[in-house]
Parts: sequence; C-alpha cells; structure tokens
Amino acid sequence: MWSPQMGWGRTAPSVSRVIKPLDVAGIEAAVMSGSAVIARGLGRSYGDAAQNAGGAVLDLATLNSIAWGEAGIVTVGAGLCLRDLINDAVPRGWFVPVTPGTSWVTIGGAIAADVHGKNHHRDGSFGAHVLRIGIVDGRGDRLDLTPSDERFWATIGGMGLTGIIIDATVQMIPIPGRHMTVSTRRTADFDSTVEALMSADSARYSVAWLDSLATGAACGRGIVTFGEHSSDAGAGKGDAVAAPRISAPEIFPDQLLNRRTVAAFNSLWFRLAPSHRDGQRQSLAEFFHPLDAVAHWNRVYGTRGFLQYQCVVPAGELEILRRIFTRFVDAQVPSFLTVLKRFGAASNAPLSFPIPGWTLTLDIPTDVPGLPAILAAADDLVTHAGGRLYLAKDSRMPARLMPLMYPRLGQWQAIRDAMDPNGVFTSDLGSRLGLLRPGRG
Amino acid sequence: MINALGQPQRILLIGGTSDIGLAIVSKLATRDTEVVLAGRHLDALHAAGAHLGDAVRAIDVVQLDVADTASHAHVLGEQFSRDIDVVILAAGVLPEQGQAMADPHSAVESLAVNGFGAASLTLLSHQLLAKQGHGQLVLLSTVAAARPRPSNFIYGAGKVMLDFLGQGLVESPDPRVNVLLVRPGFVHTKMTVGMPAAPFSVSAARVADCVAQWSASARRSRVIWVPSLLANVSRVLTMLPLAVLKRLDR
Ligand SMILES: Cc1cc2nc3c(=O)[nH]c(=O)nc-3n(C[C@H](O)[C@H](O)[C@H](O)COP(=O)(O)OP(=O)(O)OC[C@H]3O[C@@H](n4cnc5c(N)ncnc54)[C@H](O)[C@@H]3O)c2cc1C
Repeated sequence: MWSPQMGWGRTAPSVSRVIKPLDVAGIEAAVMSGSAVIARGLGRSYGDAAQNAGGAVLDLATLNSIAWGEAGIVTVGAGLCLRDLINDAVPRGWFVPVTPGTSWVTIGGAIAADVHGKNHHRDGSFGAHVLRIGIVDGRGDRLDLTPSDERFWATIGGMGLTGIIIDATVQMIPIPGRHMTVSTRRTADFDSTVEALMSADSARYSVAWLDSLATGAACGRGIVTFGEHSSDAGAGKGDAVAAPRISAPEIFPDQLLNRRTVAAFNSLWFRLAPSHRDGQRQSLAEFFHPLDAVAHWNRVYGTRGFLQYQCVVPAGELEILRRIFTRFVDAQVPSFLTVLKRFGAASNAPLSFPIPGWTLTLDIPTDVPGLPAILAAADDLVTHAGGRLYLAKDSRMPARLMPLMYPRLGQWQAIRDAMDPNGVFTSDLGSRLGLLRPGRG
Repeated sequence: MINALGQPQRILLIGGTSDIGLAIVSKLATRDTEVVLAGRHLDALHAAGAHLGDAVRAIDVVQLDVADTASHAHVLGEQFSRDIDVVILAAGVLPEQGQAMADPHSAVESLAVNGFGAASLTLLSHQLLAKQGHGQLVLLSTVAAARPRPSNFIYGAGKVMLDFLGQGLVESPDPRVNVLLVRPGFVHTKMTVGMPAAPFSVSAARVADCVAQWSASARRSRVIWVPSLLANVSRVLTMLPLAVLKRLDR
C-alpha cells in the first residue's frame, strides 16, 4: 500500500499511497476521501513537491486528452505529457508556447510550477499562455478558472496546493516547421557571456551554458546559444521529439561526478563548441530537450542523489549574481549543467518564480563536502539581492526564507486557504517550507 | 520534513540532558532546526539548552517523567501537533549494581524508567511518527542488554525491554518510520564518570557520528553497534561461559 516517492534529484524519499483516478469523479472521490492528497505529474521536479508523506499522491496519467479548437487553441488533460502534445501539435503547424529543458513533464506540472523556457525574456512563463483551467478544489467542487480570477493565479505556480488541475486550455504558437535555426557563441569569461546574452535579446530563444569549474580569467566562460523556429525544407518526417535513444542503468558508483570528472567534461564541452557559428539547423528535440536523449540520466549521480540550485536576482543585481557564481567556482562545486538565462516580465501569479533579471542554475551532487554552508551563503546573497529560489527545483531551502523570497506569500496563502478550507492538499514541500496552514501535519 | 541534505527541521530529544542525546542533537541540527528537550527537571533542561546555544534556531523544553507512563500520551501528543522529524530516546538511569541488589525497591524503580518508561515512549513515538507519515526514531540501547554481566545486569534488565522492542520495530518495519537501534559500548559521559572504562569504550561524539551518518540518508531501519566491532564481540559474549565472563568483568 505504501509506495516510496522521490523527485528527479532522488533525495529525501517518503511513502504515500498512489491513487490512479480514471476520471474526474475519481479525483473528486479522492479529494473527499479524508486523506491528504497532492497531484503528481511525471516527478520531474527535483525535490519533494510531488511527495506526500503518509498521504496520497494522485497519478493523473489517464487524463491525457487533446482537443483542438480554432487558431491554435487546444484543451488538454492535465496528465498529458508535454512531448505527446508537441508531437500532436507540430504536424499541425503549432508548438507549445513554453517548454522546460525536458519534454517529460505533464501539463499539470507545467502549470503548477509555472515553468519557463529559453524564451522567457520574450514570452514569459507557461501560465501566461493558459486561457482557462479546470480544477477540483478542496471541497471536491469542480471549478473553471480564467485569468480574471485570483484563484487562477494562485493555482499557476501554486505547486499543486490549491487543487487538482484536471485540464487546461492553452494558446499554442504557430511555427513554420519542425526545425530550429541556431547560433552559437563561445564566450571567454562572465562579462562576455552576459554581453552575448544581452545582445541575443531579440532572439526568441536564448540561453548560456557556463563552465562552473573554470577559474581565473576564464571564470564564467561559456557557450551561448540562441535560436528561432524555421521551416524544414528537405527534412524528413517522424515524431518531432523522438523517444530516448539510450537509458542510463541503475549501477553508477557514488561520486562518479566529482571535481575531476566534471572539470574534464566541462572543458571538453567548451572546446567542442564552435567559437562563432550562425545558421545551424537543429531538430526541435536537439535544441529544446537534449538531455531527453538519455532516459534516467539522474541515476548518474548514484545513491546519494543530487540537487539543483536555481536562483533568480533582479536585473539590476547582476553583480550579486556574479558573486554567487564566483563563490560556487571558488568552492569548485562540480556542476556540469550550469545555466545562465535572462528573464523577462514577471507573471501575475504570487508564487511564480521568474522575475525580470538573471537566473542561474547548477546541478550539484549532494555529497559535495561543505555543501550546506556553500548553499546557505548563496541563499543569503540571493535574499539580499531581492531574488528567490525556484520551488520546482528546491529540495533544501530553509522555511524562514520563503516569505522573504516570495513577498506575496501571505496573499497566496489566504486564497489557498479559501480554496482548501479543510487542508486536503498537502505535500512534503508544502510542509517543509511552511506553505500549509500552521498546526497541520 | 528532512530535506535533501538530510537536515531535520524539528528534533525531539527525550532525556533532554543526556550527553549522548545532546551530542546527537548537535550533530543533526542546523541553525534552522528547532529542538525540543524533554525531561524531568526543567532547570537542567534549560541548562542543556543553553549549551546548544545559537547553533540551532530555537530550543523548547518540556517536562516529562519517564516513569510516569500515564502522562506520556498527553505530553508527546502535544509535541506532535507540529511535525517532528527525529525523535531520540536517550532517557535512562544507571543504578549502582550493589545498591540495587541490596534494595530491590530501588532496582524496580530503575526498571520502571529503563524498561517500562522507555517502552511506552518508544511505542508512542513510533505510533505518532507513523500517523504523521514520516520520521526517524533513534533508540539508545546498550551492549549491556546483550548479555547479563555481574557488574550491571539490573541496568541491562531494563534496557533489554527497550532493545527487544527496538529490534522488533526494525525487523517488522513500518515504511513511514525509520528506526535506528543503537547499541553503544561503554560511553564516557556524566552518567559513567568515575567508573572504570570497559573495553570498547567510545565517546558520545563517536555515537553521534554514527547516528548522523545513518540519519543523513536513512532509507531503512537498522541496528548498529558502536564501535561496529561490538557486533562480533557481543556474539562471543553471549556464548561465553560464565566463568570466563566473571574474570573479564573485574
Ligand atoms: C531535466 C530537467 C530540466 C528541466 N528544465 C526546466 C526548465 O527549463 N524550466 C522550468 O521551469 N522547469 C524545468 N524543469 C522542472 C520541471 O519543468 C518542473 O518541475 C515541472 O513541474 C515537472 O512536471 P511534472 O509533470 O514532472 O510534475 P511533478 O514533478 O510530478 O510535480 C511538480 C508540481 O506540480 C504539481 N502538479 C502536477 N500535476 C498537477 C495537477 N494535475 N494538478 C495540480 N498540481 C499538479 C505537483 O503537485 C507538484 O507540486 C526541469 C526538470 C528536469 C528534470
């Protein structure tokens, strides 16, 4: 009956009952069952957002309908996997308005975390393109919510704690074909990386990979890529995003990813990149979801797991971001997935992560010596800058930082409490960060 | 909720003045951890709390008489109104063997603490952690529970009850609760000060290290000996003829 649940980082598991409702009536029954519940998508959040110790998690994989309307408006089940939506949409000339770095997420997960992609500086986060959501609230009532309703915005980025999303109507974007035209710039240091990103602002998609272990004059060197959708004259057919080609086995030794191996990987990666290239053609999958080529790549981190540290600081606080990054470099924290990206305008949702500014992301094995202190120091700088950490990635931040990082937390909690007066929706993340009502387990 | 770095948010130490218990708390806690110290004498608890000082976020003290089993449900129930990530049961008394033999009443009083009291707190904590849905339960047993020794079998008799229960919980685990049954050898603490150190003695800090190591990535219940060599030694001890044991036991 009890089944262990973990996030993508494979840390801090807890046990829950897994309920697989067949339809909306099944969801209503689960909400009214008297047990605490939380929705779970594909478990791609890194920490404990989709875990519910001693309660129930709802697996909504059966809610995977796709219904096309006019002009790229599509209504989809919350359990639908983003890659299935992409594969259905691309042949029709449409694409998802926002995609995270993996296509293995559900619509429910994309809304509940208000995910962002490489186009955030231009197009905002996922919630900005959602026209309507259907949810089951804490009373077991079915609600249709639109952007004029504060409950809509509490649910966008609300990490599943306002209700179970059952479906959503999304405005897709038109694309000329299934390819991308990509430019690449290799940058020598932090300043030139930032500059390259700024100059790429007009590109629809842009992102920078950083070498987190390069020191001295090379500190902050990286590879900036930007891309646009393009037509596919002469290209073949097939799924826009194909199934993974290989799968990582369950047998990686602990500490495989250490300073030495990651440093070797990082410099190789840096050297392999072209110093300046324009007009390269890539498939959608190559450009948006390169990591999806290897299923279960999170196993590479061994039994102790890993975490992702993703912060954002306001645009004017670039110097603090540089300090945060430099501290990770000085501590020689081995991260082979280090990403710098510019964010555009914030969403109306109180718990949505992106704010206009700079976001930095590092993947870090949990057994790095001294890691708690390194992260605590980074937290202090982020908070000092008026920045915040991303809840979908977090697995360790102290609860006391929550109201500092998310000043609209109280407003969100009031809406949430009204939507869920009996406290049905709970998660490990919610209780760890004090998002639930006090005095409740 | 214990986070990805194995850091607990709230710890309850039963036997709030125990050196081993406090050593474990210092090892597990961060500056964001709340600590609750439960024990009989509030003054002593406050003093113990002051010792932890600024290393933790907050310290609460609560009065609890281990021998008064009727009061346990109420006291623990109140503490569990908010999540507790780790319960450490370190309460116990060390009766002087000769005196306890001479005064059976005092011997039974020690059994009420080390045996029945500890059993009550173990079972209640386990139940409350299971109801909460997650948590760790650390039970401090002793090598003295492995084999009656002439010098301390009255102490051992009480600890046997705790040890047996702990072993039972480890061997028939509830997936919501991770139980650690710790069997240290002779530990240098204020409880044992002035006593001759037995072989395989350890420091409280060493016990704490072993508990922390388990706690940081606890995925299952376990029995551990500190030092680990004691596992084998105790196997020998239980088979040892009494005559040899007596000579070893000074
Ligand atoms: C390799 C990789 C790359 C990533 N890149 C990015 C990125 O570029 N940008 C970005 O923003 N994120 C990124 N992420 C994070 C990921 O997009 C989010 O964590 C997303 O929420 C995961 O979706 P999921 O379906 O797996 O949801 P889960 O992880 O299962 O759940 C996440 C949250 O959504 C809630 N939820 C899920 N379904 C529902 C529902 N039906 N109703 C209500 N609540 C629901 C859960 O309760 C939980 O709080 C990445 C993750 C990985 C593993």
